[in-house]
Amino acid sequence: MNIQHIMGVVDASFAARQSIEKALREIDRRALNAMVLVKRHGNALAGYGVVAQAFRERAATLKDSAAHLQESIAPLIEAYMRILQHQRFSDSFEQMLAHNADHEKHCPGLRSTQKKWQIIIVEEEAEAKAVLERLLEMVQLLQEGIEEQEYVVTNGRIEAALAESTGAPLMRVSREMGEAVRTVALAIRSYRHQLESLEHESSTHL
Amino acid sequence: MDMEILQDYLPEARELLEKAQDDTLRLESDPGNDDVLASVFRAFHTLKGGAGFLEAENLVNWTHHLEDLLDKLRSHTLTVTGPMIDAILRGLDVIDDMLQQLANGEYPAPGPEELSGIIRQLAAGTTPVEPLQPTLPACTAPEATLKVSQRATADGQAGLFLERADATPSPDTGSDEISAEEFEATLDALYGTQAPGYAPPPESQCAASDEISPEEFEQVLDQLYGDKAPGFDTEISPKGAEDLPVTAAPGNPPVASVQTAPAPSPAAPPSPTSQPAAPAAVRGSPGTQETADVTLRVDAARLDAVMNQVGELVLLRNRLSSAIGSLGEENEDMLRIAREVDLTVNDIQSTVMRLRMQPCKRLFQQLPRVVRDASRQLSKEVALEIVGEDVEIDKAVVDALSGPMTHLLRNSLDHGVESPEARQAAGKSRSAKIRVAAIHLGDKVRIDVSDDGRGIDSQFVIQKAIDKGVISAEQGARLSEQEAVELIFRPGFSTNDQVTDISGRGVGMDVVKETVRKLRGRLDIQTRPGLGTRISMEFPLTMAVLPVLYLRLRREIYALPVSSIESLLDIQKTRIHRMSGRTVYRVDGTEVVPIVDLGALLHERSLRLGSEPIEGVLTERGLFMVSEVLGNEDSVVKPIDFLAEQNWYQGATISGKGNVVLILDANALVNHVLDHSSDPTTKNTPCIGAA
Repeated sequence: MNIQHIMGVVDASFAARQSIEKALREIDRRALNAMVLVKRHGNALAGYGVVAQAFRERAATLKDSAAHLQESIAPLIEAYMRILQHQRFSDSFEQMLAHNADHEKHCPGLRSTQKKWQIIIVEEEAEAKAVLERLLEMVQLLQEGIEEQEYVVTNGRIEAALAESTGAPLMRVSREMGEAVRTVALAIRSYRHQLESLEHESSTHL
Repeated sequence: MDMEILQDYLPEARELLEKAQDDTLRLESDPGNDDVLASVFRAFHTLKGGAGFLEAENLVNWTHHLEDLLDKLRSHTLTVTGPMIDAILRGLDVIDDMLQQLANGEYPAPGPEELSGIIRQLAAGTTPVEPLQPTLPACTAPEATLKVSQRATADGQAGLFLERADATPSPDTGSDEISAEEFEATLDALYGTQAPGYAPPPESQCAASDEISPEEFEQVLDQLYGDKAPGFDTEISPKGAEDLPVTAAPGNPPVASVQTAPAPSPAAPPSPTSQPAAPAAVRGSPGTQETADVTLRVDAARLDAVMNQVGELVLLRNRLSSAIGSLGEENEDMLRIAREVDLTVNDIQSTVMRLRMQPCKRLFQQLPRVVRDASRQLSKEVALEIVGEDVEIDKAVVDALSGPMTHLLRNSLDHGVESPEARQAAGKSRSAKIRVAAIHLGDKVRIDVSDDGRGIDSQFVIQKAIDKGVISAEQGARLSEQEAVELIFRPGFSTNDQVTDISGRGVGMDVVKETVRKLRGRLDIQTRPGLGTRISMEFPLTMAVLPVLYLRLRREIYALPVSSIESLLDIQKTRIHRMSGRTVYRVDGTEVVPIVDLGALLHERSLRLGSEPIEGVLTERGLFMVSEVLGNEDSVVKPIDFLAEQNWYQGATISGKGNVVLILDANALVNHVLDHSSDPTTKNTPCIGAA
């Protein structure tokens, strides 16, 4: 673990947040577009209306989840920054102890302090791990939400096929919905990879 | 006057009148159609009967003359001629006026004496002194008429006799050879009150009201004597009327064969499935009893009240859904109840909406007459095709569109359709075609009026608009083809330099546009020079509920009707351009639309692209820039009549959160932007801030 790695996670988090927000706005717009289309065609597209409504509601839920995701990023970064800081303290004590040993000096207080920092770091790492796990759980929930959204899109495609005779461009709308969902899915997957690599590094204490 | 009877009588009378006019026009092209003749006769007979109950003596007398003429035609004593059709149609106009007087609570004034005389003369089989339409050949007067009389037979029994009589009608008796009194007296003499079909007369003495129809009369005779009736002669039937030449005027050609006057083709008969939504049953018409049992005539005001109440229910439903949605904790029961309320309100709304729906037939019924009269006046040959009479639309649209439809057809005939000679010279058929069609499109109905005439020359229109001061020369130079053609909808615009009965006053097309706007509709015109013009009007299926899209402009919420929205876009600044002094947005490779910066128009402060959140709402005529699109809802429009006549709002509504929200008029906003785009002080230019 080093500062570059953490900065990498911060950057990835920012990029993912932007990408997810944009994609979710796009999903919301697509859903609204579908609902406008349905309204303009009256009862003939009532079935698709239900799908569009579900799509929009889920998009709102995803937006909510994504917002919670952001709330958990800050504590995680804070925890890792603190670990880095304390690790530096511990390293300083370690260096001092090594320097004293070179000059055949013994300073038990210094060793005791250094051990304390080590304990603190272990505790903080455990805490950071817990935050990271919570974050990964949230990402997991978000991914499940995306899967549900994909299911809604599939339903939309079926409804669009059934309502093809109305002449409404529902297939196109469904395709666009699917693309918007895929964009979010990709952004979240990439973010998850970043978090998992952080978890991996944390667990191996690199 | 008994107002209750009047309330029942008027709508039924108007329906009968419309049907009679329709049938009369059909009769013109199919004069031998006995069913149509009987239908017109029945209409007059029923109108007369009802008028008798109302003691509207002049209406009774008037319908009596027409009924008499139709009776002669129905019994083939006379044959249908052009002047007769004209007289009947004019007679129908008089009845229409009389009904209007009744509606105003007045007893109708007597009909025009001249027309009355003509109808009586026609019924008597004589040629009117002044033919109604000089373009049509006058009918030849028959030599004699039939006369029914009562006298003793050879064996001393009372009997009815049918005789030939010279046609010398007196004003009093010439139209009806056997009066109601005579007939009553005959029956009384024969049977007293035991006569088959006897019914006690009403208390009011309506001498002119003929309570016994000719069918009943025939029935009485049949029941009395079968084919042994005194004076019965099988040769009285038209098929063998050799001994009774009074049945018809020989040599009088049927109207269908008359080619001297251009006449429109009759409207396409409705398809078997195109029955209107069960109007009131016509009295005495067999087979309609069943219909009468399942239909109910309801006062329109009551229906409107129900509709308003449903509107309030819809608003309450929205508020309930919004309140439940904003509950912090999800409650399954509440959600389920909200969903069920939602479905039930939707059902109620849909059912009540259907109550107000009426077939377009009601709207189109007058058109054959309009085309017939105008084409004669202009000496043009036109075939009118009507499609989609069974398509149903809100009553408000049907009521409001009657005048505009007439305007459109008359304009089409006057300006669009060429003279037969000009058409031939252009390689077209002599007879032009005007098509009126109603098409159901989802939650809208489109009404098209198209012709295969000369189309509209946009340069000519621009020049006329400049000449008449409708636009400046500078504005004219900047107009696109489509915008130029749409100038015909501007108030005061006319291509006619001379005012005629048909057009030229520059009023009419702007009325069409205004009516369409008030009905929340959309007007579109497509023209191809030399090939024709199509004017399309799209109306929402129902006027009661308006689906809207809520949008946020900075801190304020507005609504835009969903019907005017094409899609929602993410605005990209690379697609914003300046063109001919206007800020436009390139939607795709083919579509470029003007930008309407709502911030500039409504807040007098342009939205700053890149510095604040901006979304685009693409409508049919422009791209609206807003801060955020919030969502859609079914709303009920509340009029805001305290604002100036010309404003940017269609009305107001109450959102699910209970706030009053103004509903924007997309067309008015786009028009404002287009009209003021040359103004250098215009603020409708989005600012592109730092990204």
